[in-house]
Amino acid sequence: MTEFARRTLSNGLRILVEHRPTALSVGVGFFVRTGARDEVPQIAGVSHFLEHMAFKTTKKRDALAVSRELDRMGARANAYTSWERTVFYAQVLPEFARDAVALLGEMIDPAFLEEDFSVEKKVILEEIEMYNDRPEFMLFETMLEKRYGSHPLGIRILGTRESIGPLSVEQMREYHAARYRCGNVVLAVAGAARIEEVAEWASEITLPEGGVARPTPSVPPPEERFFEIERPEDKTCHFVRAFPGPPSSNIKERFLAQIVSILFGDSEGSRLFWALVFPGIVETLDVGTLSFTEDGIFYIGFSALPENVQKSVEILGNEWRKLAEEGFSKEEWDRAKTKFSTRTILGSESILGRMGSIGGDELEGLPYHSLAEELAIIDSLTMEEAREFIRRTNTPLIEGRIGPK
Amino acid sequence: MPADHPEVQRLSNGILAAVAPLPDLESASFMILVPRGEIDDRPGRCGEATVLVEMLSRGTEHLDARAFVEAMDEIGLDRSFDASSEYLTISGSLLPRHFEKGLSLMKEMLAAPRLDPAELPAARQLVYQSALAIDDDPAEKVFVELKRRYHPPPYHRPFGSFPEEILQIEIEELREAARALPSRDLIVAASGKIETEKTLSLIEKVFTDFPNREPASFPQISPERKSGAEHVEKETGAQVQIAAAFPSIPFSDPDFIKVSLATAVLSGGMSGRLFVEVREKRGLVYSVRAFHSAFRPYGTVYAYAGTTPERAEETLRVLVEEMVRLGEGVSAEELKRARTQLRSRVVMSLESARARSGTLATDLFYRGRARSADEILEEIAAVTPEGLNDFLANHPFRDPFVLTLGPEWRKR
Repeated sequence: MTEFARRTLSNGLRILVEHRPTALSVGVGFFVRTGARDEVPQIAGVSHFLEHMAFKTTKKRDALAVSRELDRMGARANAYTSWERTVFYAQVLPEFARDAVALLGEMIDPAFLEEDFSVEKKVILEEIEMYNDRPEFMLFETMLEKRYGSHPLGIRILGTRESIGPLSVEQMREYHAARYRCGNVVLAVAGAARIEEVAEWASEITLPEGGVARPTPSVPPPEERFFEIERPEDKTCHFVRAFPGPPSSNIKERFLAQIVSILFGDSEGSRLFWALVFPGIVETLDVGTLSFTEDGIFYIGFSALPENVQKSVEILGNEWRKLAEEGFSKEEWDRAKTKFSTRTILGSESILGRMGSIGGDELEGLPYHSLAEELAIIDSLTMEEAREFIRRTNTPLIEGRIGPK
Repeated sequence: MPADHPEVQRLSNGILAAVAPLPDLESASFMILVPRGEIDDRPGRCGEATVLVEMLSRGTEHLDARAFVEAMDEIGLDRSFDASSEYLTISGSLLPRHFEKGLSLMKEMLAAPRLDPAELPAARQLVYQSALAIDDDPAEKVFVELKRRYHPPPYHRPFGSFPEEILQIEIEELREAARALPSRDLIVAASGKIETEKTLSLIEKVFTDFPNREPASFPQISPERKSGAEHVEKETGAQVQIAAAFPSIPFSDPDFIKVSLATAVLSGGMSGRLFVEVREKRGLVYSVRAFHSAFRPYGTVYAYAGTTPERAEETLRVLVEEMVRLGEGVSAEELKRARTQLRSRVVMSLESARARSGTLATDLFYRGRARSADEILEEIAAVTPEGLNDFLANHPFRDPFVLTLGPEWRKR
């Protein structure tokens, strides 16, 4: 079905290609091992702002020419910044794959013009305001901030008005020079392309050689266990409870977390679905995992009307306790596995999805997994291992709510 | 590009069955489209279509709610039941070996839903909450407010307009609505790793006992659309949401491809005029876009931007100016880029069974036929700069109705 190959260029750039002969498109992505957690509070948001600057003037062309080139290729292109990575990607028809690699490679080494910087700063500030109108997002960010405190994982991806306002283009150049080095970058490609041609296309990259260390300080316990953000103007409340979760390197634990998420909190047919959604007590559920280099979070959340929040929190606690103490049936387990496997298969059909898995895994120091290998891991998970995971994930770290009182 | 050969068959009871195989994929998908949507909601019952769909999902004659959910989960059916303005959709993706079972479960849901009155309060509550939640999402809320004012009856009561009405819905009303569903002008579309003849026969077999269809009819709508501007105050927002509606042509119009190309020039990618003028050059927004949306009788092109109050006036001015300016025509380069974008989308949709079954169903609904990917690509290739500019000159975007939502931004 697919063929995987990898190569590391002499400048340290890693290239991973999963060739699919039947694919109609190519997904290409540059994965840079830098994000909010590699910043300090004074420059919070610089990684994300830098991501924006990659779409502006490069060393070869101006911003409009970059946009036109992307559109000339009919590319489905975008970028995102996370706590530990910045990713620039495009999905194109095969005839444009070479140009897509060349352009993205050029974009990740921007010119950092002052005029681009000052206009884009306004866009960033608008983006910050846009997210201030999204309570669910604010809740999650605040939860991470309070859980991690002064540890770098507590830094906000977008930054704040206070950190972005005074940010200078020199500070961004410095950050770029330090973090955007070939040893810190992975080019992941999925679809109708082969390693030999991709390696050739990537040979023009201008980033300097070398890798970058990422200090991983110890993670302190949270200073607060509970927080509340009042927003009297909202109609709905959002709640989240966070538990310790697996770090990126622990693949097995991450898969266990996913299957437990499905069993316990999937939006259909899970324990919380029957206890909270089906009777109309909450509107939505959100259960999942975030994995970072040295730490992780397993979270359970919901949205509900203010009058139902207290009751829902109690039910949530009871259901988790019940799951830990009484376990679950084989039928429940098999259904969760079937959902997990089917979703994995459905997901693997997405070219961008595969590109994302391949690039992300490499960046996190994980081995490549084909679809068959992922399905084999899911298949190997046992009920006992899941029970152990639930028991280990026993004690919440922090919880919070946002909305009207 | 692989061959794309959609086959359509009208069953003896009038149901339209359509299959477009994608043999290189691993999955299969179906979409059942029932022409019963929000526009069919009873007066004073805004949200009825969504409650109906929620109640349908709560079990059949033979399977109670839990057994029904478990039956779907046992075959790994990744499903979605949705109500929109003109139709309900029942979509599913799954492994091909479970296709018959999955489709049969969905058919049971339509043919013999349980509609247990004991479930109604919870179903209403769930739907009511999702209607209220729109209030907390200003980018979504602005479109509800816009549509309420812009569209004529029966399109003027989009979901979220009157949440309290959801709590008034009674079981008998739902039973009556559900009884009518199997005789609607159904479309059953499928794609993925399935064979055409086998699947058409399967659809026939599963739906054979449905009653003869009643051809769908749609309201006659006069071509005049409202223009003007209104502001809905929401003091506590950080941003002002700006939404504008411009009259356009429906999907069934043979010139429709030109509207797709026009919106691609405006908003297809980062060199789109709106992105360049509003965001890139002036830094006014993070989010700005234009997109086409159509009902059977007529079409609309919407434009959207979100910005802080101090920038709202300039943002709105530039947004509308750019929309109007398109009437002066596009360059050959712009058309070429728009064409490639549309072409990419068509080809890439063949990598997704879910996308393919969806466009099969909506093509049949809006156009009465299923276009192959080649046909669409030919349509795209056939548009010349002169042809497009001629169209734009005769159908400019102008006289919008603008709705803004958020803190007061208008200068006194």
